[in-house]
Amino acid sequence: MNVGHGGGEHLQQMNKKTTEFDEYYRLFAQKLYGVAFKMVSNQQDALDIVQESFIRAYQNWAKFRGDSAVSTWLYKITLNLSYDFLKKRGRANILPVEKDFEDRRVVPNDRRIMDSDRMEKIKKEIDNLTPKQKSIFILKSYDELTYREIARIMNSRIGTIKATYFQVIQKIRKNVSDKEVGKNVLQEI
Amino acid sequence: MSCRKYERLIVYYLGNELKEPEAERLEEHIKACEDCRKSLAEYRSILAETKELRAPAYGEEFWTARLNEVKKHMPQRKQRALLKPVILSASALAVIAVLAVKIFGPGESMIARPPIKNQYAVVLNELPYPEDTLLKMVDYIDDESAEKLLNIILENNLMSAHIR
Repeated sequence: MNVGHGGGEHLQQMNKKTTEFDEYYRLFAQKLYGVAFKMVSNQQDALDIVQESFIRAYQNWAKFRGDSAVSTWLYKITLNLSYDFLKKRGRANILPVEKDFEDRRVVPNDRRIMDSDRMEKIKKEIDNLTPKQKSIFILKSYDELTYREIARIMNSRIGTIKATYFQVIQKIRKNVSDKEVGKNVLQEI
Repeated sequence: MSCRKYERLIVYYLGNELKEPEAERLEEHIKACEDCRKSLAEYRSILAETKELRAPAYGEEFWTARLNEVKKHMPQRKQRALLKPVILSASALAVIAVLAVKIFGPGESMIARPPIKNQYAVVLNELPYPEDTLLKMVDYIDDESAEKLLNIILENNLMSAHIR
């Protein structure tokens, strides 16, 4: 096989692409898995979404270099695949089977029941958000991205992202607190 | 400013998204307003609790194995991308037909030739694709497409004369 100067360059480029890709995979796979998991509430589906995200990223690597931050682009692919997945699941009318969030807290037994009840309410509130609300909430609360970064990922205005995030948090607080107040009143009666 | 407006600022404040003068103004207000102090505590608690809900974590080994799986998928997808235009595009079929005519020549009895799919294999060997890709191409072509291709070959007998 004739590998001239051009062939060597091509090989170098391929190696560079692979090395860069590997680095981004190591940096972002777990993060994107976290986003996908919170979006679809299922471990295996989230892993599949991340896998597909990286396959698409690899195939289009050259197109996106320099256009925008790679992280923005990776988040974008993962969210779009999550939306597609949720649409398909919605059409098939299938409910997510597992919601095995990891609860990292170590609390005394008597507090655990009350807290887990409250956590269930919070989880339910998050599940009830629209996919776009959920994305904004996840990117801000868990991934701690700035409003500017979220706006870039979601092709939206910073003002819209800020307002939506506030509405979401306000709604969660209101519904979780209201239910607790209602429960306390019942207990007193 | 009403407490209602401060509620919005509290959320931005907890997300570290308030500029210093606004943050200072909010802190001053909170010192004096019990409702907003309560509100700040509640929002802080909700945000802390939501952060506790995390996806189960996987170790480095797991992700390395997944990365290797991603890499395994890549060549297959590339091949599919190559196969699609060959199967679907009429111009690609024409190229194959021209090559077939060149190889088998006009006037030779079609009945005496090997089975259709094997003819494809011979024709496809003339194309600049690796062997395993070509074999997959042959697998992809169904009998109906094979017949269509043969018709193109027959219709292009004149073209073979031109090539020669």
